[in-house]
Amino acid sequence: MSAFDPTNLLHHQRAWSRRTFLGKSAQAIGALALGSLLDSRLLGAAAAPSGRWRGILPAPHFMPRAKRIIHLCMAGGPSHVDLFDPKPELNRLDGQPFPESFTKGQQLAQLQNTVLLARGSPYTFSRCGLSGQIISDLLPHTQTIADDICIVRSMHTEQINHDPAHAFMNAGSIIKGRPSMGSWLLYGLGSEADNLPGYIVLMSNGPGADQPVSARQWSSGFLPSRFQGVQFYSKGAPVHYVGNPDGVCQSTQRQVIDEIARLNGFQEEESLDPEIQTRVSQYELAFKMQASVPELADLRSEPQSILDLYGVKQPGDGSFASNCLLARRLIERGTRFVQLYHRGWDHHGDLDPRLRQVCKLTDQPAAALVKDLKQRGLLEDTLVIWGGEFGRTPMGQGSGRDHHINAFSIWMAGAGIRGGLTWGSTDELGYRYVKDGQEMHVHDLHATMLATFGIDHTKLVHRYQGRDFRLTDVHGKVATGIFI
Amino acid sequence: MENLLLFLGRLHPLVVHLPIGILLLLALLELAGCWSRFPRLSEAQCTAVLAAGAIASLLAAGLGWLLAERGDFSGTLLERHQLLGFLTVAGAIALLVVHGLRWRRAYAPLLAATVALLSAAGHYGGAMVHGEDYLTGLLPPSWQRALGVEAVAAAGARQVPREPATVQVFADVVHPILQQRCVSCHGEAKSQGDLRLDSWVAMQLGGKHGALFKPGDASGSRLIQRLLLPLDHEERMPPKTKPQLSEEELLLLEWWVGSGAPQIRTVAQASPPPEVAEILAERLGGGAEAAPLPDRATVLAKADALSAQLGIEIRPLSAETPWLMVSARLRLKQFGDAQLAELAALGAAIQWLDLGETAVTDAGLASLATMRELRRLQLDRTAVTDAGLVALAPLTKLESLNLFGTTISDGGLAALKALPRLRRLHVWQTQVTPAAAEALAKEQTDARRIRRWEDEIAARERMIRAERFEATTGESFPAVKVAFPPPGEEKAAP
Repeated sequence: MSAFDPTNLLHHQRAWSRRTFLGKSAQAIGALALGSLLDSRLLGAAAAPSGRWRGILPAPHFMPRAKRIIHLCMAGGPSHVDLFDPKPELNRLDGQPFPESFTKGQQLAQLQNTVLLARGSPYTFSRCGLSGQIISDLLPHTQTIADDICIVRSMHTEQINHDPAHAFMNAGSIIKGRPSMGSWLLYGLGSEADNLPGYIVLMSNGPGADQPVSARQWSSGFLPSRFQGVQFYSKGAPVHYVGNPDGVCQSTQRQVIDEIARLNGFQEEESLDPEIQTRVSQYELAFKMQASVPELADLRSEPQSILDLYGVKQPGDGSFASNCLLARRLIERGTRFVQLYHRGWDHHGDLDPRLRQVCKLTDQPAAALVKDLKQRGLLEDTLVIWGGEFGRTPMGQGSGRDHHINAFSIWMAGAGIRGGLTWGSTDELGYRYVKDGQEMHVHDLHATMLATFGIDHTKLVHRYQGRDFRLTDVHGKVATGIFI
Repeated sequence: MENLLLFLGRLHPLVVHLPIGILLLLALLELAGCWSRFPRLSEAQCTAVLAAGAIASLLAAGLGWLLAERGDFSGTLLERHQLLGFLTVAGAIALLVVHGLRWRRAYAPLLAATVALLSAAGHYGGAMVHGEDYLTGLLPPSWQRALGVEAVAAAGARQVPREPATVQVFADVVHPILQQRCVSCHGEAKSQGDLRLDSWVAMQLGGKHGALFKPGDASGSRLIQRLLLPLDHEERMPPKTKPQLSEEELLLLEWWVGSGAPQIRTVAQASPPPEVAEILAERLGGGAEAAPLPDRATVLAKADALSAQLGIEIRPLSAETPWLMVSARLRLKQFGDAQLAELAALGAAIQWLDLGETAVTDAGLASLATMRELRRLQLDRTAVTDAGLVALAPLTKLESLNLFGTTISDGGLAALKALPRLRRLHVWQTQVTPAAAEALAKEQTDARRIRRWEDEIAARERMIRAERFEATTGESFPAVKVAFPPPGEEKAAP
């Protein structure tokens, strides 16, 4: 640990003039003195003996429910009226003009300036479990976990195109340079994993690969880059070139790493740049990952019954099923935030075959993940969130549906979330969330997510360019009603 | 008409700020006028302001008088406030006269005196509304001593004895509750509704609505009835906006009133029923039972040292509590019984303990005996067996237990029945049969529901007992009297 806290970006000055130096020194000494008065753990103690980051918060603000989170991001925008939010009235209007009172003056994506026709759902729904939650028959496996999940029907967002909507869902803002929720969480609480990154992203797709998802979605923004998401390959080895080249053994490797760290130390003493700390710790982590990653990816230790539960045909084949299983293994090894993207939900056309196909690919693994976490007792302190970046219009677009931001459905499970609960609702056509105190904006979702970790979303802040930033900006309301 | 007058009276606290503002501003302007660079008030301006001040103070005093006559105020505070208020009015009028007569020598001293009277009257008025120690109660004790305003409770406090044979029911149990919750409005200084609760004798006198007690009948006594009214009820005491009595305090008062509200009687003589005895034991410092909260700073220092020494994750659960979450899982088999024994030093502070996949065995579980605060315990994939589960018996606060992947069997489940708060048990991949697990879950669910019902019924019963019909004929006691057997007879009946 250097004399300066690497996360304190007040010191993030690459080249210091004499004047800056003198000014900042005085501040820093003052800050140090104040810091030691407030809580000696704030300074220095954020890192474990191994150098692992343990979070900027000395402790959660209040009693936590969750220790880990898995975000199943259904990229493209799943259709809520076909999956979780049946609308008989919409079915009745099928093919007729969509009432103008709903849509007048509203922003639409590709349906702008076209004749809007209502499209009913061609699918059937069932009441499931003891709770009687309503879930589409397209999701027979999700139906079996109806009593474990809380379906939120009143989600709404502000961004109507994929990339900005993903950014909004991740960082609560479309402005580049804002940290994603995984980075915030890692920054706040650190990770328990010594030899794996604390924030890992995996990607799968099918049927067909539609919209790409940019790596900026898991960027750490203005936070030090050690808090950014690390994308693992979901096909083959999760991390390439993790083995040593011929003729290099682990002890040589160790010496190399130590020497580089020593040299970086000189540079750091001079420039006090937190990015050097990041680099040193990433070298160290990569060294440890040479052992931990092959062990992680070795699914031979999983019995056939587990592979069957998830529907994994070929371990490491890049499927959503294989990724879900990896996600469980990651959180078992202490990773704080795992984000699985599945691309294939952007059904502007051919809604019918394509929605059925993507459900078939994702339904069983997602349900299996919840079941597997439950039987291991991990669901108690693991939050699972399933959902897209927005929903799809109740109006038809050719044979599909367009992007829709005024209402969509997600589900959450674990970490003290009340299973079997349907939270919030939409109007009779599924066009807009109802303001009944249960509406959930993306900011509210973020606030609620942080609350499961015992974090007050108004207090996890980072000062950047003279202003305190937080994940929920100036918004966010915790949906306390969804907790047990 | 009465109500209209009372309505006007209640405007007093609003209107009273008008003369305060006018007179203080005048004094300020006059003061500033002594300074040569500041323009002086002209004679005409001064007359106008003085007239406004006099009229406003007259109006405020009139409204105040209406309130005092009809409202629920009495006591020494009111007397002082009233006297000072009238003197202020007199001062304001005198000022107007003095100024009109151009009697300049008397003007400045009279203005100063009026402002002083005004301040004093305002002070007592504020004390009536907010309670006497509204401001000074927040000062450090040394300042309070310097100001001579030591907290009321501290002045009359007596050392509370601990033995039931010497604890006085009224002086040591009831009186402190009344002091804390009631006396700020029903005391010597301020006696709303002409009622004082600051001494036993005063309580016997009752208030303007009549007597407080109906001998031997708690729920027939006005004191208890008022406490049990719904929070929104106009006559509810303490009013919605004031700190409320706790369930325990209510129970204690009820018991005391029910036993005839005696002045001198020890707890031993009063022989309280078990639920009251329990509360008494707790309040009078049966200290051995309720363990004090561990000191956060000490715990965290110890936790840091142990975390470094054992290489395990130890974190505070939240910023305000001393509770810890401990995870040894990532040490895998390097963490065993010996390390767990060292962890016992933190025992009283650990709420979440993850020992999953470690080398902990039955023998090591003995170290858990000190961890009485434990809420979540993970022992999955360890060598723990049925025999070891007996060691969990002291963990009376345990809510969640993970035994997945161990060799425990149906026989081991019996030991878990003794854990009163256990809600979640994970026994996947063990020898526990689904039938046995289900039977245990059902039995425990039933037992818990019954316990919950009993608690609910006990809590409701007291509210239900307060439900009654009264027909009053102007007497201070209800005309329809409910017959009740003397205390001895009730017990004797089968």
